[in-house]
Amino acid sequence: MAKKKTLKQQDFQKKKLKVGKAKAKPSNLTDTSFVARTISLPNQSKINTNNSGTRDSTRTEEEVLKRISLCRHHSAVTRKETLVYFKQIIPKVINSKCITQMLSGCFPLICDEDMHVRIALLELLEEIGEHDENVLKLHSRAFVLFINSGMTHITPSVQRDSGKFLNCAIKYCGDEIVRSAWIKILRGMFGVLGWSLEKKSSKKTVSMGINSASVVNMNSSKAQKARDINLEALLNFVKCGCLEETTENASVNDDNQFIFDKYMLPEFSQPYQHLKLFTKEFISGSTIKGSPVTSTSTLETLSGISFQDYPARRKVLIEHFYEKIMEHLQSLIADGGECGKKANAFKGTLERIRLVDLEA
Amino acid sequence: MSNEILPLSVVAKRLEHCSGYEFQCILRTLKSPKYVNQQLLKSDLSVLIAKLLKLLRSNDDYHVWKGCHVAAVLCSYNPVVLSSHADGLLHVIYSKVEQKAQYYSSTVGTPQGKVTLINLVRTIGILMDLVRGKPALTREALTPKLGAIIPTLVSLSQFEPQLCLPIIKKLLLRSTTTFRPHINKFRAVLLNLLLKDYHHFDKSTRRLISDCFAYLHLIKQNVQAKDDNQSHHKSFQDDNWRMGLLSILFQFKPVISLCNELLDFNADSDMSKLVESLPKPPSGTNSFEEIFPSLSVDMNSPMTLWDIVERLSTLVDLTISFISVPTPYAIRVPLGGIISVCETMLALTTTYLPLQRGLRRDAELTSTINDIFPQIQWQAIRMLNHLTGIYGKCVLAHLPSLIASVESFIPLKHGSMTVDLDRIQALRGAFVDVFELAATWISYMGHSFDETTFFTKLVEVSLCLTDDINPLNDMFVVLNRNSRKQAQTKKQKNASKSYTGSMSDLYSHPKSFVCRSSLRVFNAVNKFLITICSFVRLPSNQQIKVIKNAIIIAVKQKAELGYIPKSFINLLRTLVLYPGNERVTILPIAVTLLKDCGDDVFNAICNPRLPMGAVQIVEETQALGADLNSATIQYPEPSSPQTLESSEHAEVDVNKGSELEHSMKCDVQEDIQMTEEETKATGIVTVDKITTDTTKIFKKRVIESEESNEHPAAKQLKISEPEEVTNTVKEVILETDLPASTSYQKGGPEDGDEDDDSEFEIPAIELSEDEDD
Repeated sequence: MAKKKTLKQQDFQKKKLKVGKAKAKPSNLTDTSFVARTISLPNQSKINTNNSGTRDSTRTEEEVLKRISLCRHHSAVTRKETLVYFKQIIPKVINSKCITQMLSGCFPLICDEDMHVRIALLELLEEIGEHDENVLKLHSRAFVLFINSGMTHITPSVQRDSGKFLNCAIKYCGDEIVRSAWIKILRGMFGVLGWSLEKKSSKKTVSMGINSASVVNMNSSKAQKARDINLEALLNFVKCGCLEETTENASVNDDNQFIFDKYMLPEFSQPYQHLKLFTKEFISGSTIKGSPVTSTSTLETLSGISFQDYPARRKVLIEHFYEKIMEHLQSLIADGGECGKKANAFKGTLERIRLVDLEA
Repeated sequence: MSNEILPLSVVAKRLEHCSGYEFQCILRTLKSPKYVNQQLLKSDLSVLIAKLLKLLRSNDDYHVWKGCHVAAVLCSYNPVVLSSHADGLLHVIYSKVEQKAQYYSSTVGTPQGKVTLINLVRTIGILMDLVRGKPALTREALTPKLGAIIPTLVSLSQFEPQLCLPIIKKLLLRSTTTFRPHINKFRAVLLNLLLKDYHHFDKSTRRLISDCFAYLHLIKQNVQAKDDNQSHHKSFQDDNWRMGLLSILFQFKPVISLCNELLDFNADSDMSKLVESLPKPPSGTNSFEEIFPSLSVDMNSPMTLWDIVERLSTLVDLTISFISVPTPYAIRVPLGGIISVCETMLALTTTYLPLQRGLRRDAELTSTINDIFPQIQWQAIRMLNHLTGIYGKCVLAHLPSLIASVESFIPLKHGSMTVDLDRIQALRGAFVDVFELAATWISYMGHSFDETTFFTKLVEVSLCLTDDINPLNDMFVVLNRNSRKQAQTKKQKNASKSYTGSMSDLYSHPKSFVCRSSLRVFNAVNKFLITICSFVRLPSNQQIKVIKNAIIIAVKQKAELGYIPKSFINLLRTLVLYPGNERVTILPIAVTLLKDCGDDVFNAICNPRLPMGAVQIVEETQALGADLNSATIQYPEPSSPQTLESSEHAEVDVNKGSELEHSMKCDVQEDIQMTEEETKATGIVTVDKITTDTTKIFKKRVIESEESNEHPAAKQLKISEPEEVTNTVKEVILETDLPASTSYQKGGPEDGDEDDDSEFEIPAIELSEDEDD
């Protein structure tokens, strides 16, 4: 009996901890410890790429591919240096496969918050365009995407600089851009310039609220300079989209050639992209039953349509944008200065476009 | 068919008791022209006719039915029977019809009785059609009986309009004078049908009724005494017809004026002018009858408003009949009056005219008003369709105003100029007529068309109509709005569940509730789009939509049906041939889609080739060396005499013939054979100058093993271009003496005689015969 009691009591007795010794582990303890091991391969990139010899071009491409990740480096200086490096090796890699990856990595820098990075990117794009503008034409879709992203960016400086990129795009791949993103770019530039697209419900009321676009339009020299550039970009865009280049020696033979060319192999890439045969389009809010028809909803519907010919683009410009642009140009002309001159030129261009449309 | 025919006696015996397939065989046998024999008339045919008459006189419906078919077949395929027995058959059949019509209600009590009646009437119609046009037969067999047949048919037409009216219509047109005594009775029947039961009938019967009503006016009634003072005025043959047409037109104005109670005409000055311009009877004249009584419309019961649509629909049908049915004389059509009626009806729309202020704005009345006016507009479009189809370019002078009027039919969203696609689906049938009308106008105007907004809107509408109808779209939106309901008690929940049925499929399989567009709609839309794309340069965004639509639906149809319907093939062809403002055509896409079946148009575009028989000149380059002169191969014209001597073209004089193959020689011979035998140009080479012995040249060729290899060369010869000529060149070269003689010396003339393949041979002088002599 005493032994049994002792055993029972032992179960409930608290065992004393001993100094210098660890606490006794319970008998039902499960050991969950593990050991993790890692292997580091500092030369992994060399394994991925083809070791097809020691050609310079291959090494250059590899170098480019390695540096693309530096475009997302946290340091602006690194990003800028990467872009400068890319600019230097453009002549070597312009016809290589890595150009696509390079541009995919660089385009997001249109929305980079550092001014120097954006400047370097612009120089890079100019360099690419100088060497081979077809490269930019091929990548126009992504280019427009990031320009648009820049135009609607929350940071004012990014928004201000989007006009420069637009100028660059118009210079080298203007035709592709006006066909695929006519309404989108126009709406974006309206936002950049701080112009409103909504119809005024009443002329007596004036909005005192400050919207994000109007921040761009502050009266600082930087802002004014940016406004000049953006206005010029918009003007170039409108010219490119609405005014055809007619040669002096156009003849009947050229017309026939123009007709025959439609049946030949196209000289431009992705000839049926505008048909959107394989894209799924979402139903826009304006097409839902019961929703009111506003100018914005109409423009949203039109944003999804590509305008392939000059008359269609002119018509949309005159129908939806002409009056608003003229309104704002009047005030800019009245202000005078460099901006006033450009606004005047813009006004003349718009009137010319209207005349051409009426004649057509 | 065998030369022996089944004796008619056998047919006559079997006729009474046969049925089913045997009866069909007998009918097929009776079609044989072998029975068209006057000698059979007195023997077998008379027995057969006697049997036939017995069947027709029988009280058994089945025998009568058989008799009708035998009579129709015999008279249709046997002129002898028709000429001799049509009279008797017509008499018997008519008697039967009269008997059946007298006891109509008991006749149609059984389905057999009804079928028998239908067959009897149809057989009378067939016999009358067969007899008509044969002067003696008409005079002896048909005309005396018409006086009895017509009243029977007229009485029967009030119960069976679909059956009797086609025959009466022909009688009205062809036997107008004979019909005259019965015109009033028939008129009463028709008016009854028009006023009471018109919209119970199907489309074809309604058309018959209105056509017959128009044909009533071929007969002049109430002939007034001629006024001597007016006798110098020329009277037109169509005076009565015109009076009838104008009577119908004058009845539009009162009905349209009634709509002034619903829409405020004064809000639009143009509307008031249009209503004033509607045809109205001249004051002081009572010569224009009013067929229809006044309409009774009650605003408190909005469903009575549909009577307006019904009346206008009837009036439009009558007008269409008056202007479209063939008449024995020329008619004067008041085109301007009809067009003003159409324009006024098209202007009745709530889009541009406000509702009357005094109207109460309850849902029933407003929705009824919104529904009836598009239907009224549709009637106008129907009338314009027929007008344009019959009178073609006579309406071109009114086209600008007509286009503006038809454009008001397209529903627009409130406060904007965009098309309201939601309301389009409800007017599907109407828009098919609009497409047809627009396509006709465009084809008349050709490329000289300034008006484009109407057609761009129509293109949008047409693309909307090709979409499938999903009736559940609105339901889910409504459900979301109503989702915030208060909690229901358990009893209420159970009660609501019992009423809803099994709704789970709506959520799990919504696609199974989709209504697909029919092929008829696709064909109508495609026809319209083909015309539009051919004549009008659409804006690029619309052109893109049309192209995308055409490709996607063609692919879908191919997946579902296994083939691409013809209308889509035509649309793809049009889109390739008329790319509009596109930079590049969809030729590769279209060719890929039609890869399985192929297409001639695309083949011609992808593989252009010159037609056979074209004149071609092949100039030899210096590849052959200086010895060879330039060879000219010219194919002679069909009319030119085909002899060797008459050929004017220089041959190739080859001195070094050994370098050239004998195959060329063979081709020359063969071609020269064809030249002399056939007159058409089939790529035959003519030879101008023969340096060798002609007799030996025209020997049948010995080397036949190379023939099969050289036919392709011969064909190449015909369409070859001036290229480098090698030793295996495709040109005609006469061989020199040595090779020819060596080759022929081996053969000899005897061998040439023994060969059977040659159709032509100029034999050499046979020395053996001379020696015998």
